[in-house]
Amino acid sequence: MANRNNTTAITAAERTEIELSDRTRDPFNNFIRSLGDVLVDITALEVNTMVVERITGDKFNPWETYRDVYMVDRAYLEQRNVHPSLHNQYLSLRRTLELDYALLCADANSSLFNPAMLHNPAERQVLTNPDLEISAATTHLPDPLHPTDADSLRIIQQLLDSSQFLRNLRKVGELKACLDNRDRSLARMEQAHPGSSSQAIVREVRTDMIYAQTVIQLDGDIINRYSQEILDHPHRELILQIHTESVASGERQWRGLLGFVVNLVQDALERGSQAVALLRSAR
Amino acid sequence: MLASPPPALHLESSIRFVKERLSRQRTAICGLNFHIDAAELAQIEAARDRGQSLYLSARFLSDLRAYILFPRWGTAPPTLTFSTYYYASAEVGGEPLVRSSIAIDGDVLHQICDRCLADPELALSLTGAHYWLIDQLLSRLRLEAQAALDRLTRSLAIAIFLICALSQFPQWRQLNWLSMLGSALLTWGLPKLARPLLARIWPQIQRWLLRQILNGLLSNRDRLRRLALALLSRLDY
Repeated sequence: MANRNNTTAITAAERTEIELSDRTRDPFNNFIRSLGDVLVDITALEVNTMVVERITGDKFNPWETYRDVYMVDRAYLEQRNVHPSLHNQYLSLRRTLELDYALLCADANSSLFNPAMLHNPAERQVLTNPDLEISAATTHLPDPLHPTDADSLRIIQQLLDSSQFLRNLRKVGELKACLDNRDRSLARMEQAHPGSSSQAIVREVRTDMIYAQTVIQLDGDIINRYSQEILDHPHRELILQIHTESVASGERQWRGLLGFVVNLVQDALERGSQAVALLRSAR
Repeated sequence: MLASPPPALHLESSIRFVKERLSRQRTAICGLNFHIDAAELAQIEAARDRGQSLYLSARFLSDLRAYILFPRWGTAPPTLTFSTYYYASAEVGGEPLVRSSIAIDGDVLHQICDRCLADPELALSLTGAHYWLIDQLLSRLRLEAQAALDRLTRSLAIAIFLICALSQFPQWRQLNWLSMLGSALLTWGLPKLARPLLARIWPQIQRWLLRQILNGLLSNRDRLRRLALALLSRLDY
């Protein structure tokens, strides 16, 4: 067993070295690997339609997003007076990030592979306990607020260099931005109507939430989900009509984007075997 | 007689890349904004109904490809964001009303501003125009290898003609009609002969060129990236 772990550790180290040398020497192969990671993970097209109070900026900064999500736990939410109706959604986003990190640490092919994640019950809790609440005591994510030494900073950089982690971090960041906006709207509404109940306030704020979601799975299954709040929305029919159009155009647009990248790679590589081999080697 | 396709819709000044300055010499594209007013909205709807396409310059398409292939954060998979700003009048506007974020891994998020819903007709027009503009951009991304091959053979024909004409320049006063006829035949015939040969070796040339371009485009060196972008725009049209 020890022998097997040794072999894996060497493979992971070698892989890191190869990845680093690729990054500097052959950006094309590096691009192919990161694309391969994405293609292998695609299982469905997910189209979400959201009504927002205000559309905010386009810029995504991985470090800032990671730091801001890392800080979230129940104590932080209470200290910041975040509306109680949003606590579970914030905590769920935080758990998603913890789970993504744990999965990377449990993957023998990842440069962040850590055998302790598989063998230590405390560390693998996030993988096995769906109700685990993440707090300062239970988190295993590297701390971006108080990095103890250069090594811990390096681990965060390595994590933010993982295309798989970045992909999820971007989505978590988008959803957190919406929750932040909704929290501000709820606070404004509470100030404007001091006597109203919390439930009435929540019902009254109709922005910054996903009203409709359509998931088109690669095996052909289509799943539609609607938020309960859409039933009472004065513009229910309009939102549903916009969502229907969103799904049709979203599918076309995603195909256009994916088709361009995949064809470019196919054209640049020898069609067939080399392309397949390189994409496979991404895993 | 075949009807010619309707002319393309020109909206160059309304479609703008959002750029972020990384250093004195380096900028990165982090989004695309559509700025439209009521007249342009009507033009887009008419273009969509008539089956017109959107005019996109080679330079614009090359920037769009760079936006996809060279994300702001090196290893992040491509995610494109498009925002539509609507100017109801000269005084009103300035904020995005519709936004789409499209990730290559299949996550698509469409956001619409709450106040837009108060006018359902405008909301539907605006989202329809927003989706049509994105469709036009993403359906034109693929490189036109055939166009590049045609351009190459045309350039070859012009080059041969110029070489023949210049080589005879000193003897223009004593023109040898026979050699002129031979040159004309060569100018006319050689590209025709060269085309099938080029068509056979073109995929290899293109593959090699594309790899060099992608390596340059994905490189950290700005000069290489600029050269790669210039080459990428030449591969099309």
